[in-house]
Amino acid sequence: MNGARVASAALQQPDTELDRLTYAVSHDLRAPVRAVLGYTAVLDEDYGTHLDEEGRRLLAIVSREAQRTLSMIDALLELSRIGRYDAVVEPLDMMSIVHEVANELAIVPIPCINALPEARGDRSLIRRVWLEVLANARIATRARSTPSIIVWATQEADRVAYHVKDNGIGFDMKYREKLFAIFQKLHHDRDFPGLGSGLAAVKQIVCRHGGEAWAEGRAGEGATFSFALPTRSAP
Amino acid sequence: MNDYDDVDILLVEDSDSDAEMTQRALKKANIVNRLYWARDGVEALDFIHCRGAFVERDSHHMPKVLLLDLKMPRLDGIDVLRELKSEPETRAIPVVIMTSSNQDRDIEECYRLGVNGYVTKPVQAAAFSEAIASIGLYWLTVNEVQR
Repeated sequence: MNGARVASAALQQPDTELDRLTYAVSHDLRAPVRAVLGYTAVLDEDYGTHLDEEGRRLLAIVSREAQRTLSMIDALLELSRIGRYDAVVEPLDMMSIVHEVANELAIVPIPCINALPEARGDRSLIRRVWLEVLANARIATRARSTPSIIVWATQEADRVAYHVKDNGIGFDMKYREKLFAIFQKLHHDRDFPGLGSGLAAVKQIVCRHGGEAWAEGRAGEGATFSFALPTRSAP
Repeated sequence: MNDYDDVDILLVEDSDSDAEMTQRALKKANIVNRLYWARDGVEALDFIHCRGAFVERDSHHMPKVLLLDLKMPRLDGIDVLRELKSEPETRAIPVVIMTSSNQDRDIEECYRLGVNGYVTKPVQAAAFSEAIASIGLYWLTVNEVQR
């Protein structure tokens, strides 16, 4: 099958009812939030000069929180899209994908990338996994004087596991269940900005491929994020 | 001549806030052409075909552009588009979809049916105003309509 594309049915199908519901809710929720943002902007434009500093501060909070809500809805939509996406399984040159993503993220210093075996999966989805995991490592190490990110793979019986180890802020293993759940964060925004949706996307993509994602770490001492993909297409 | 005869923009939108924002943006861009706001697809088709409340409308005057939302009660935007583009007498009316959906299947279906433009409503108020102003300027002043 090398080089040949196989039907998307090879990827596990998501829970379509739940997925449709998420899509509908996310889509319909955007409209009222957009309205809040729109009217806040109008209020600021037409009456901003009538407000004192405190009034403008409060208005800015309304706008910022509406924007945040919208971002969360968009993240839900994005997750729902991953489930609905018509994936194509093909052989993937993981080395080139990782180099491409690391380059795109402009990580300094360049991560140490060891030999990575080929995988089978949907290129754009697996690329997204690398993007999230490497971006995560970059943010985790941003306050380090000598940041380090190492990428390698281990061959297991019927799957290949890929690992990204960083010497960043790490996490407490007691909360590891929360890592891959949507909007769950283990750090405050000032230490680790973001909505907490990237690793949820990773988990969803890897599960769709019949694989598994996990992480190990210690607070303040770095973390290793891993995901494994079956060497044969999922049944 | 009645109130509906000199309408240049037919806005088909079920959301009060989006309709208000659209009208505000056009006004801000000094686009003062006559606009009629239809609340759903049924009302829009009644307007175009001079039926129901629009029975006395001059059927020779067509809007210069239809700004059409996709998701609406009763008849939605896709159905309106399909009907307009399948009839020779309404096929030439420019239709621009204004929607919150950027789903590939919606975009593909609209172009398959012959839409003239497809715009995802920008989230930020300033970007929304700009988009509406550009659409208004293009279809009302730059574009030549079929006479």
